[in-house]
Amino acid sequence: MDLSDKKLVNKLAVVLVLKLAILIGLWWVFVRDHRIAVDGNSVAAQFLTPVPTTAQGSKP
Amino acid sequence: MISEQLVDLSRLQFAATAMYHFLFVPLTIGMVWILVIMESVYVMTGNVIWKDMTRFWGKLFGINFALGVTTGITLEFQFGTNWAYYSHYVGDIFGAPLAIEGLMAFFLESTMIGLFFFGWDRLSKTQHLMVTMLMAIGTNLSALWILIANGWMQNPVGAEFSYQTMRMEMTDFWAIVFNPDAQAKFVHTVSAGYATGAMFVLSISSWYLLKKRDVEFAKRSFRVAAAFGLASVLSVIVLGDESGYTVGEAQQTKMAALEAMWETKPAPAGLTLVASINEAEQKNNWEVEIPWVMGLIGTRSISKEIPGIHEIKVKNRERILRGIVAVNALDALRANREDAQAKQVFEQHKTDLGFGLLLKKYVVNVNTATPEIIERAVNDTVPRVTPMFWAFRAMVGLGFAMLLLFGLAFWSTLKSACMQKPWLLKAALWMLPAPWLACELGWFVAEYGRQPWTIYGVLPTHLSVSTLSVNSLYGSLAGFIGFYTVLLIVEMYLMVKFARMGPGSLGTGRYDQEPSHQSTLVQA
Repeated sequence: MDLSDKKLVNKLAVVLVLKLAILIGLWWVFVRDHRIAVDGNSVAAQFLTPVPTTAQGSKP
Repeated sequence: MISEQLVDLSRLQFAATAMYHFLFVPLTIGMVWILVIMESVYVMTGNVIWKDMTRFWGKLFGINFALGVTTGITLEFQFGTNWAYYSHYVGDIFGAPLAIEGLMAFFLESTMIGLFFFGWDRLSKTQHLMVTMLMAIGTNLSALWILIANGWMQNPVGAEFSYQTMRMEMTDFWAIVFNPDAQAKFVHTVSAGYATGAMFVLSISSWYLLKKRDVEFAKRSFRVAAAFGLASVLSVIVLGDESGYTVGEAQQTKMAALEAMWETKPAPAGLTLVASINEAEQKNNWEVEIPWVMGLIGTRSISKEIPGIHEIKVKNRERILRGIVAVNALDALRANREDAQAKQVFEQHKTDLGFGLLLKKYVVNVNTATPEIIERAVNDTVPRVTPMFWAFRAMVGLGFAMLLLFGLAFWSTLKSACMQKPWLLKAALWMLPAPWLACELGWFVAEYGRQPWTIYGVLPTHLSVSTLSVNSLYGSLAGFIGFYTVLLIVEMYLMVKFARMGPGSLGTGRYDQEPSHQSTLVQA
């Protein structure tokens, strides 16, 4: 493939532009509004026991 | 608790996009070195047919690259969108090699690919060869950093959990870089890529030879592919053995599952060739075994045992119980960071924290886990045996079939007799899908075999996913499948079209299948 392959280069350019457009479309429709803020506290809430159990924590 | 449907859909989406991405990757990794070989011969000999070979196979390489590029980016985006807890928990470590890959390797690769295609008339022969070499180095560096990241998921070295930030933090960058799992995985995977590139060139060249067109061009391509393919497949097998050893060291559950090894056998363990697996009763109804081989592959010794699934489960039950203590101590530390006793208990048990978290699949509070629930979590620690066992054997079988094919092809080309063996040319043509199948099976064994973990022994898969809606995942999954199917059709259409046109598509006037065909092919 070089500059003489104008038809192929054009086809690939169209494919690349379409790819980017579709990926942006997928992100726009399915991802954009789903903001997920994850920090240490939300991980603790997800991973650990809902009510802190300090007494049990010190048992070996 | 996270819904199982959400976890399964997130896994399915990642698996589908990753396996699709890996249709393009091995061909890029392998073909780029074949281009280096062909162009080096051109620079050394000045024979223009080698330049035509570089340009023609480079054109097919370019189609593959253009269609494949960006399919990997969607994987990286998914870490943020679908695996937000994973990204927080291990982002400090996992993000580093991915960032280096983008900044160092991908930029180098992409820049050099541009120069490769559009530099033929602007650069000297030697300069262009340098560009091709840098393109190959960039491609392989890219694979290196990705596999360092993946190797860390299999064997998380050089990192430690911080209860203050609730995440893993890097303690030793070089331990991550030189992680034996990552290094073994890298050389095994790129060798598989080289074999894929070689098979691609060998198959298409065989088709030209069967059609008796562009014979001199095809013979040379066949010869390069046969030699490169033979060396590559031998490397895949030898380095796969090394990969097996590292798995045996770091991931005993994966090793036991892919060998259907229910009981610990006396050292050195035999290699089970085939077996009738009975998952319900956790045994093999019958099996055919080669003595000693598994012990030698998995331990590099004749006295070291490889633990069976039952023994591993007993150990994992203990780790889950210790993990409950770790979760409770972590709870206490989160409530009071100065609690010295809790800190001491946590330090003693933190290596088992991930095992305690396995219970979160079934209960909100790990302290309420009944013996039945603990038993379910114990069973979860070993992936299903049947798919692992057969996927591994299919991969290895394909590897040896390719070794036979490349061996015969190399022998026939040494004797300048490939044209007299149409059966060999037909076999080479029909074997075209083999390396892709082997690569996908290999990734299945690596990733499914790591379950139930995203980070082996540290972070369970079910705690790694984002709290997305199931409908959102169904929508994006359908979007990806539809979009990627169209892309695959375009890829196949362009590949078949330009492969059928052959070197005549270069428009040099020296080949068949072009209007201005002249018999001016330069003889070697």
